[in-house]
Amino acid sequence: MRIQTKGNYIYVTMWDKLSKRPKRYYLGRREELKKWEELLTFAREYKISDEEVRDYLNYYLDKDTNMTKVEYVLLSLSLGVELWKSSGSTKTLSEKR
Amino acid sequence: MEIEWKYKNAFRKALKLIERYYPDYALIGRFARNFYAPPETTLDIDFLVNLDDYERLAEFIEYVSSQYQITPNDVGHWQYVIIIEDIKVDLVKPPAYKITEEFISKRRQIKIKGVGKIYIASPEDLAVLYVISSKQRGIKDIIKAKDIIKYSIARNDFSEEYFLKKCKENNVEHLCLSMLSSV
Repeated sequence: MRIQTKGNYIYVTMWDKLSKRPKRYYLGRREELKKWEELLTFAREYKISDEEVRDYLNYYLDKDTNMTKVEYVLLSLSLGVELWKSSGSTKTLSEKR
Repeated sequence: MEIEWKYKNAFRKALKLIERYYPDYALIGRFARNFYAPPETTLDIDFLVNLDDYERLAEFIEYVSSQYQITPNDVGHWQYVIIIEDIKVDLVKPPAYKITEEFISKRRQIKIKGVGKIYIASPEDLAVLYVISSKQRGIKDIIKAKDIIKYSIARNDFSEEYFLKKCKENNVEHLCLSMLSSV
């Protein structure tokens, strides 16, 4: 896929899965070319390995809800806030704001 | 465990507040993402609510202000922050994003002991919200969207058709197609 230009505008032509034919998508102004190149490249090239997926399904997934086990989701919040509080700031979030 | 109780308590209070004024809310952001992909640490809890209803929002702000700090404290913004017992609770409604009946009906409900029942945005809607925000916040939100897509497909819990429909509605179809091309 290649970003093309028309006047001051940039676009890509991609296969539209819903209408089953090629379609031109306008992205914005030429000045934004770099931003769009980065986003589209990353969207295409960022990969998650089969092993990572297997680990998730084996260790994190609650088979009953077909979602991540709740205790891990809550842990992600409590760890996040505790880490934030202990990293460089002795103030709490409420004092900070 | 004291820490866990503290966070559940704050979460329950936030939920009670939001449900009272915005029953059609949905949990979004990284906390919601963590229900669909391997968890990452997060600092806050984000809720998508209809902030375009100014009358309701004004009542909400007035009610919340009597108990907690809310910023900003006037109507007309697309993001508000409430601090409840050290937990940052964000209320968000990205400009131009429509909370449709379909969005509401596709939310997932999950019960958390000590908190209650909560509604989470569907994996498709959550991924679309991340794709939209990537236009401002860059590749980190592309990563989150793709994580949700990849792990949800692995759980047999992702409709490409609905995802692309929502992408089209929000003018981010090209990014969504790029992501799906290599999942």
